[in-house]
Amino acid sequence: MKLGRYSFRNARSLIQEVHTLLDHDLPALDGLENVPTEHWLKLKLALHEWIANLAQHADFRGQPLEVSVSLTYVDHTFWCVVEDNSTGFDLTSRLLTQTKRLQACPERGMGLLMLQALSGELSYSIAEEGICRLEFSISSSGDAWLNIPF
Amino acid sequence: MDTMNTQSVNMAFGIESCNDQTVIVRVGKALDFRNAAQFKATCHEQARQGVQNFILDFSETGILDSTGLGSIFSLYRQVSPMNGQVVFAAVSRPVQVVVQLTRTYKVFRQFPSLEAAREALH
Repeated sequence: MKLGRYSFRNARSLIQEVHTLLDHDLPALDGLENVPTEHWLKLKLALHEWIANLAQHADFRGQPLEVSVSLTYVDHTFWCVVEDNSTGFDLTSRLLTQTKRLQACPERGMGLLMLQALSGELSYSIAEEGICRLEFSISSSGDAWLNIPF
Repeated sequence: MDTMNTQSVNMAFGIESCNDQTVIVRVGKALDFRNAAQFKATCHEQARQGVQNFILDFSETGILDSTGLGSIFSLYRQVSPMNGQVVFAAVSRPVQVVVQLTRTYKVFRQFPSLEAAREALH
């Protein structure tokens, strides 16, 4: 079931618009009445962490921000694609670095690891046209766990 | 370019004193990258004034993200050498998702209500 493609161009309101989409707009769609609240909350947290990473670290080369979120729901799993016009980065090496550097009760460096822990599938690519594309899935089952040292 | 870092959550964190050593922090609708620095500054100032125990009221919280959680860890690191505590009260479902994901219930005791937390820290 395709849930739509949503575009965002206002940097100041981006995160709030994404929250509104997930808190109100999408759960109201026909056919999603039986999606458990926890499933929506996992999707919201994963998407929030990616948007927060864009907000805090992405380089848009001085260009106006363009972010799109496409969502599909199939077999109790959300599939989410986020495209943006930032310069992008090496997600795989960043995840490895942050895993190695994770301290006890860390103050920073958990966001992408939380996204990874929540996701079943996770892929990231930078297309030649200057568009970065993140794709991840969030299943309703499973016990996601980010192993933070305490 | 209009930077997203200028986004803010329009709120101050309410502080309610229980006694000389314990306060309730009303987290409100969000504790995330937009206001984590404000949370950290507010709580660290309380700790500097001698508060050791922090009850975090999550009853209205719709989002707790990694940066918000990091600011709570920062507070925990500040007060734990003084035998202080940081506890969670009235944890909302969005916050519970983060607690379960990160297993932070191992560090931060949870109470079903503010009253229960206040009683435990009395």
